[in-house]
Amino acid sequence: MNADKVMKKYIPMTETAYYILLSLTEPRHGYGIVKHVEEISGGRLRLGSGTVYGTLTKMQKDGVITVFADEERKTLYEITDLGKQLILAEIGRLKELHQNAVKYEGDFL
Amino acid sequence: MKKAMKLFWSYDVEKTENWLKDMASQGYILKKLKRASRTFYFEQATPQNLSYRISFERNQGPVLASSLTENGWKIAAASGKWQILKNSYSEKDIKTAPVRQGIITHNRNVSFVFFGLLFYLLGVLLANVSTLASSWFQDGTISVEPSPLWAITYLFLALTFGAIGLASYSIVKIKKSNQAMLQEKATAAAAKQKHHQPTPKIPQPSGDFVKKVKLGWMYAPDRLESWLEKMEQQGYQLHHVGTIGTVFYFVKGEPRCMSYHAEYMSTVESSYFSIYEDAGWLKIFESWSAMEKWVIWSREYREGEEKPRIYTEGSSHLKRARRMASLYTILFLPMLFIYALNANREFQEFMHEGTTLSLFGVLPAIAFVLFLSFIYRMWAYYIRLRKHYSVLNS
Repeated sequence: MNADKVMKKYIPMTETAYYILLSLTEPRHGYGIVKHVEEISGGRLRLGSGTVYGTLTKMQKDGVITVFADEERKTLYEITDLGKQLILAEIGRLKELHQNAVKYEGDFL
Repeated sequence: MKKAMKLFWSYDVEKTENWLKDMASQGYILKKLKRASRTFYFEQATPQNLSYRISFERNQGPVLASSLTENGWKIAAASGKWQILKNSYSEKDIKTAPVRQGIITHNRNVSFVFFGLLFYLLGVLLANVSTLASSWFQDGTISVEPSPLWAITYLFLALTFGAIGLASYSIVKIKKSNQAMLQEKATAAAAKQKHHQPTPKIPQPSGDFVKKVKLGWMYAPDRLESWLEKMEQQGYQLHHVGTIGTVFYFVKGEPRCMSYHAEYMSTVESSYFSIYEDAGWLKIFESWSAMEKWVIWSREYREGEEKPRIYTEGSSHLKRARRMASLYTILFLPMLFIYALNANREFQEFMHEGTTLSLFGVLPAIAFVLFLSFIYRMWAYYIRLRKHYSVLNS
């Protein structure tokens, strides 16, 4: 899938997709992703195995992530260049949301 | 440049990989693969110690994961979705490998095609043989008309036998190598499992099993889940499920809080099982059919705790359910059509010719209603699921 199509399909991202992709700062196992997401969200997000597996399969199909096997022949997930482009675009969007949140927050208090 | 032809190189990739390694140690380094002619091209160089790995990538182009590149893997040859990777590191320094799943799935699909071909050819052959046999039984002789076209007949016969041989060989070979590849994975995982906690063994029950038969739960998996959970609350602990998934064996014990999940998978990858098992789900049933895979998962939780769920987001769950319902609908529609035709014919005969309506005569009608009910139940399940998630989100 080309970059434009991927951006259109994924942005704005669901919380699940966002945190799964964000956790791939290094290659991780499927369950490693679940644990990492739980950690960085302060225990708030506990992703279900089926949801993670489904999302990873979809992302792999779209070329956002890629896989390889380790010594135990277990699958590890790695972000691709396209995936990096995607998460950066989403982070940019979230930054805008955040800036406006800070800017206008006071008006509602 | 040296050429070598390997007709069935893709069936047993491990063997091909070892052969390529052997060639490299003799100074023949792989340069190119032409799939159409099944020819490998080698360049002569100084003998080298190279490891090879073949992979089949359905989705990505010839771009390697950077973890693979960093670990010394390079693309030696690529053709279509096939890639042959090489690595000059010593074996103990090779910590990564491309995944085998692509090849396993691809080869399994190839063997499905050969299965289809085999059934077709055997059917054609059987039809011809039975014509011959019936004429022989009737007259006691078979008269052979001389024809200048007999050569073509024999040619076709030879082709048919050839194709049957090829299909059988492919099916057997693929099955063997796929099993070996899955095995390789299991042993590699088991060797590293020592530091890992052992999977809890299900104890043998002291008393007798309580057997319950559940037919057709596949058409409403959510009903099965809540039935199993209710049984557990009453102290009927699910011990195991019969091979074809219709008989459930319970043991009477303490009531437990259990979460059950039954799901359909069109393709099963080993990464699927490891994600679920690592998270603490126990696989209690897996259907043996490779085409139609049903898996039942279970997980215990403490009272007052939030019930563990496999799907924490509606979209992926709904997508899976929708795919399952669509697939079964497509599968059942031709049957519905045939049963409807037959039922109609039986009915017309009954109305106009006054024949008695036998049990045999109403069978098509019963089958029609049954298959229609399956389709209805699956879409009803999908709608229930959608309602469940829309309530959850609002």
